[in-house]
Amino acid sequence: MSEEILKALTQLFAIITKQDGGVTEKERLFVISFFKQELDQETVNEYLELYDKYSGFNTEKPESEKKPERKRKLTSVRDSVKTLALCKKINKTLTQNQKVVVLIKILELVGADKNFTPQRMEIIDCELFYL
Amino acid sequence: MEILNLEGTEDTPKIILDKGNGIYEISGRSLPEDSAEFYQPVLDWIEEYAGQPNPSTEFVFKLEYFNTASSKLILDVLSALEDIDGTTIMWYFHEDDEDMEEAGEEFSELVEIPFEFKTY
Repeated sequence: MSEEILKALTQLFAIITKQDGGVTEKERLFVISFFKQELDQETVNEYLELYDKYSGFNTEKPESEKKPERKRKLTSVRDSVKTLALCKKINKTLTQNQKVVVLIKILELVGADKNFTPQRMEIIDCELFYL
Repeated sequence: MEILNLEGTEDTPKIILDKGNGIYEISGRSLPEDSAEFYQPVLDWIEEYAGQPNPSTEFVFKLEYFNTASSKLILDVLSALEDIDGTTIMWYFHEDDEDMEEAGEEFSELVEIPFEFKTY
Protein backbone atom coordinates (compact mmCIF):
# COMPACT_ATOMS: atom_id res chain seq x y z
CA MET A 1 0.00 0.00 0.00
CA SER A 2 1.19 3.54 -0.71
CA GLU A 3 2.18 5.93 2.06
CA GLU A 4 -0.88 8.08 1.33
CA ILE A 5 -3.28 5.17 1.74
CA LEU A 6 -1.54 3.85 4.85
CA LYS A 7 -1.85 7.29 6.42
CA ALA A 8 -5.53 7.45 5.48
CA LEU A 9 -6.06 3.99 6.95
CA THR A 10 -4.21 4.96 10.12
CA GLN A 11 -6.59 7.89 10.57
CA LEU A 12 -9.61 5.69 9.90
CA PHE A 13 -8.41 3.18 12.49
CA ALA A 14 -7.94 6.02 14.95
CA ILE A 15 -11.36 7.58 14.34
CA ILE A 16 -13.12 4.25 14.84
CA THR A 17 -11.28 3.20 17.97
CA LYS A 18 -11.46 6.57 19.71
CA GLN A 19 -15.28 6.26 19.91
CA ASP A 20 -17.12 4.98 22.98
CA GLY A 21 -14.53 5.23 25.68
CA GLY A 22 -11.47 5.31 23.47
CA VAL A 23 -8.86 2.92 22.18
CA THR A 24 -8.12 -0.21 24.21
CA GLU A 25 -4.77 -1.96 24.57
CA LYS A 26 -5.96 -4.93 22.47
CA GLU A 27 -7.06 -2.63 19.66
CA ARG A 28 -3.76 -0.80 19.73
CA LEU A 29 -1.87 -4.11 19.59
CA PHE A 30 -3.91 -5.06 16.54
CA VAL A 31 -2.93 -1.78 14.86
CA ILE A 32 0.75 -2.43 15.69
CA SER A 33 0.60 -5.92 14.20
CA PHE A 34 -1.02 -4.48 11.05
CA PHE A 35 1.76 -1.88 10.74
CA LYS A 36 4.37 -4.62 11.22
CA GLN A 37 2.95 -6.50 8.24
CA GLU A 38 3.15 -3.43 6.04
CA LEU A 39 6.20 -1.47 7.27
CA ASP A 40 9.76 -1.75 8.57
CA GLN A 41 10.35 -1.25 12.32
CA GLU A 42 11.40 2.38 12.10
CA THR A 43 8.36 3.34 10.06
CA VAL A 44 6.11 1.32 12.39
CA ASN A 45 7.06 3.72 15.19
CA GLU A 46 6.33 6.73 13.01
CA TYR A 47 2.87 5.42 12.09
CA LEU A 48 2.14 4.36 15.65
CA GLU A 49 2.87 7.90 16.79
CA LEU A 50 0.44 9.13 14.16
CA TYR A 51 -2.20 6.64 15.29
CA ASP A 52 -1.75 7.60 18.95
CA LYS A 53 -2.06 11.27 18.06
CA TYR A 54 -5.29 10.84 16.09
CA SER A 55 -6.86 8.38 18.52
CA GLY A 56 -5.89 10.40 21.60
CA PHE A 57 -4.23 7.34 23.15
CA ASN A 58 -2.74 8.17 26.57
CA THR A 59 -4.07 11.70 26.53
CA GLU A 60 -6.61 11.28 29.32
CA LYS A 61 -7.64 14.72 30.56
CA PRO A 62 -7.26 15.52 34.24
CA GLU A 63 -10.47 15.13 36.27
CA SER A 64 -10.94 18.91 36.50
CA GLU A 65 -11.00 19.33 32.68
CA LYS A 66 -13.43 16.52 31.97
CA LYS A 67 -16.80 17.53 30.61
CA PRO A 68 -19.84 15.88 32.18
CA GLU A 69 -20.85 12.67 30.35
CA ARG A 70 -23.70 13.10 27.90
CA LYS A 71 -26.67 10.77 28.12
CA ARG A 72 -25.99 9.56 24.61
CA LYS A 73 -22.47 9.32 23.25
CA LEU A 74 -22.07 11.17 19.98
CA THR A 75 -19.42 11.03 17.29
CA SER A 76 -17.92 14.46 16.66
CA VAL A 77 -19.07 16.10 13.43
CA ARG A 78 -15.45 16.57 12.44
CA ASP A 79 -14.77 12.82 12.75
CA SER A 80 -17.87 12.02 10.70
CA VAL A 81 -16.86 14.23 7.79
CA LYS A 82 -13.22 13.18 8.08
CA THR A 83 -14.39 9.56 7.70
CA LEU A 84 -16.18 10.46 4.46
CA ALA A 85 -13.10 12.24 3.14
CA LEU A 86 -10.79 9.34 4.01
CA CYS A 87 -13.10 6.76 2.45
CA LYS A 88 -13.36 8.80 -0.74
CA LYS A 89 -9.57 9.01 -0.91
CA ILE A 90 -9.17 5.26 -0.32
CA ASN A 91 -11.97 4.48 -2.75
CA LYS A 92 -10.31 6.39 -5.58
CA THR A 93 -6.97 4.66 -5.18
CA LEU A 94 -7.51 1.05 -4.18
CA THR A 95 -8.58 -1.88 -6.31
CA GLN A 96 -11.72 -3.81 -5.38
CA ASN A 97 -9.60 -6.55 -3.76
CA GLN A 98 -7.65 -4.03 -1.70
CA LYS A 99 -10.90 -2.42 -0.54
CA VAL A 100 -12.13 -5.78 0.68
CA VAL A 101 -8.87 -6.21 2.61
CA VAL A 102 -9.31 -2.75 4.17
CA LEU A 103 -12.86 -3.54 5.27
CA ILE A 104 -11.80 -6.86 6.75
CA LYS A 105 -8.98 -5.13 8.64
CA ILE A 106 -11.41 -2.54 10.02
CA LEU A 107 -13.79 -5.27 11.21
CA GLU A 108 -10.90 -7.26 12.70
CA LEU A 109 -9.75 -4.13 14.49
CA VAL A 110 -13.14 -3.57 16.12
CA GLY A 111 -13.37 -7.32 16.78
CA ALA A 112 -9.98 -7.30 18.53
CA ASP A 113 -11.73 -6.27 21.73
CA LYS A 114 -15.28 -7.24 20.62
CA ASN A 115 -16.19 -3.60 20.87
CA PHE A 116 -18.97 -3.45 18.27
CA THR A 117 -20.78 -0.44 19.70
CA PRO A 118 -23.51 1.41 17.76
CA GLN A 119 -21.29 4.46 17.36
CA ARG A 120 -18.46 2.42 15.83
CA MET A 121 -20.82 0.44 13.65
CA GLU A 122 -22.39 3.64 12.34
CA ILE A 123 -18.96 4.77 11.12
CA ILE A 124 -18.27 1.35 9.57
CA ASP A 125 -21.68 1.46 7.83
CA CYS A 126 -20.67 4.74 6.28
CA GLU A 127 -17.37 3.25 5.16
CA LEU A 128 -19.14 0.24 3.68
CA PHE A 129 -21.12 2.60 1.50
CA TYR A 130 -18.11 4.44 0.15
CA LEU A 131 -15.53 1.69 -0.18
CA MET B 1 -42.50 25.11 -7.24
CA GLU B 2 -43.78 23.83 -3.90
CA ILE B 3 -42.14 24.91 -0.66
CA LEU B 4 -40.54 22.18 1.44
CA ASN B 5 -41.01 23.10 5.07
CA LEU B 6 -40.16 20.59 7.79
CA GLU B 7 -40.34 21.58 11.43
CA GLY B 8 -37.27 20.70 13.45
CA THR B 9 -37.34 18.23 16.33
CA GLU B 10 -34.80 17.09 18.92
CA ASP B 11 -33.37 14.65 16.38
CA THR B 12 -34.22 16.13 13.01
CA PRO B 13 -33.30 19.50 11.50
CA LYS B 14 -35.61 22.29 10.47
CA ILE B 15 -35.69 22.52 6.69
CA ILE B 16 -37.02 25.32 4.53
CA LEU B 17 -36.59 25.20 0.77
CA ASP B 18 -38.51 28.07 -0.79
CA LYS B 19 -37.62 29.03 -4.34
CA GLY B 20 -40.07 31.97 -4.50
CA ASN B 21 -38.52 33.73 -1.50
CA GLY B 22 -34.99 32.50 -2.15
CA ILE B 23 -34.72 30.69 1.19
CA TYR B 24 -32.76 27.45 1.38
CA GLU B 25 -31.87 26.40 4.89
CA ILE B 26 -31.12 23.32 6.96
CA SER B 27 -30.68 24.06 10.65
CA GLY B 28 -30.64 22.39 14.05
CA ARG B 29 -29.73 18.83 14.98
CA SER B 30 -29.61 15.93 12.54
CA LEU B 31 -29.75 12.43 13.98
CA PRO B 32 -32.78 10.91 12.24
CA GLU B 33 -33.44 7.21 12.73
CA ASP B 34 -33.28 6.69 8.98
CA SER B 35 -31.17 9.46 7.44
CA ALA B 36 -31.67 8.29 3.86
CA GLU B 37 -35.45 8.37 4.21
CA PHE B 38 -35.41 11.72 6.01
CA TYR B 39 -33.26 13.49 3.39
CA GLN B 40 -34.95 11.96 0.33
CA PRO B 41 -37.55 14.80 0.01
CA VAL B 42 -34.69 17.31 0.20
CA LEU B 43 -32.79 15.55 -2.57
CA ASP B 44 -36.00 15.28 -4.65
CA TRP B 45 -36.68 19.00 -4.13
CA ILE B 46 -33.15 19.96 -5.21
CA GLU B 47 -33.39 17.72 -8.26
CA GLU B 48 -36.57 19.50 -9.36
CA TYR B 49 -35.09 22.93 -8.50
CA ALA B 50 -31.97 22.15 -10.56
CA GLY B 51 -34.19 22.09 -13.66
CA GLN B 52 -35.05 25.79 -13.24
CA PRO B 53 -32.96 27.35 -10.49
CA ASN B 54 -32.86 31.00 -9.41
CA PRO B 55 -29.85 32.94 -10.75
CA SER B 56 -28.20 32.65 -7.35
CA THR B 57 -28.75 30.14 -4.55
CA GLU B 58 -27.40 30.84 -1.08
CA PHE B 59 -27.87 27.54 0.67
CA VAL B 60 -27.60 27.87 4.44
CA PHE B 61 -26.40 25.12 6.77
CA LYS B 62 -26.79 26.16 10.39
CA LEU B 63 -26.36 22.88 12.18
CA GLU B 64 -25.70 22.29 15.85
CA TYR B 65 -24.92 18.61 15.41
CA PHE B 66 -25.18 15.83 12.82
CA ASN B 67 -24.35 12.14 13.17
CA THR B 68 -22.22 10.02 10.86
CA ALA B 69 -25.17 8.76 8.83
CA SER B 70 -26.38 12.35 8.31
CA SER B 71 -22.92 13.46 7.19
CA LYS B 72 -23.19 11.13 4.22
CA LEU B 73 -26.60 12.58 3.29
CA ILE B 74 -25.35 16.15 3.74
CA LEU B 75 -22.61 15.28 1.28
CA ASP B 76 -25.31 13.97 -1.09
CA VAL B 77 -27.16 17.30 -0.72
CA LEU B 78 -23.95 19.22 -1.43
CA SER B 79 -23.19 17.01 -4.43
CA ALA B 80 -26.68 17.67 -5.80
CA LEU B 81 -26.12 21.43 -5.38
CA GLU B 82 -22.78 21.17 -7.18
CA ASP B 83 -24.57 21.04 -10.53
CA ILE B 84 -26.55 24.25 -9.93
CA ASP B 85 -24.80 27.37 -11.24
CA GLY B 86 -24.65 30.32 -8.86
CA THR B 87 -24.79 28.23 -5.70
CA THR B 88 -22.93 29.30 -2.57
CA ILE B 89 -22.91 27.37 0.69
CA MET B 90 -23.29 29.53 3.79
CA TRP B 91 -21.83 27.36 6.54
CA TYR B 92 -22.76 28.68 9.98
CA PHE B 93 -21.17 27.47 13.18
CA HIS B 94 -21.33 28.62 16.75
CA GLU B 95 -18.31 30.77 17.54
CA ASP B 96 -17.13 28.21 20.13
CA ASP B 97 -17.74 25.20 17.91
CA GLU B 98 -14.41 24.43 16.26
CA ASP B 99 -15.63 20.94 15.32
CA MET B 100 -18.47 22.32 13.21
CA GLU B 101 -16.15 24.82 11.56
CA GLU B 102 -13.67 22.06 10.64
CA ALA B 103 -16.49 19.80 9.46
CA GLY B 104 -17.54 22.58 7.07
CA GLU B 105 -13.96 22.95 5.87
CA GLU B 106 -13.75 19.20 5.22
CA PHE B 107 -17.02 19.31 3.27
CA SER B 108 -15.78 22.25 1.22
CA GLU B 109 -12.85 20.11 0.08
CA LEU B 110 -15.13 17.28 -1.01
CA VAL B 111 -17.27 19.32 -3.40
CA GLU B 112 -16.66 22.06 -5.90
CA ILE B 113 -18.94 24.79 -4.57
CA PRO B 114 -17.86 28.04 -2.93
CA PHE B 115 -18.31 28.02 0.85
CA GLU B 116 -18.67 31.06 3.07
CA PHE B 117 -18.08 30.51 6.77
CA LYS B 118 -20.02 32.53 9.28
CA THR B 119 -20.38 32.41 13.05
CA TYR B 120 -23.57 32.91 15.04
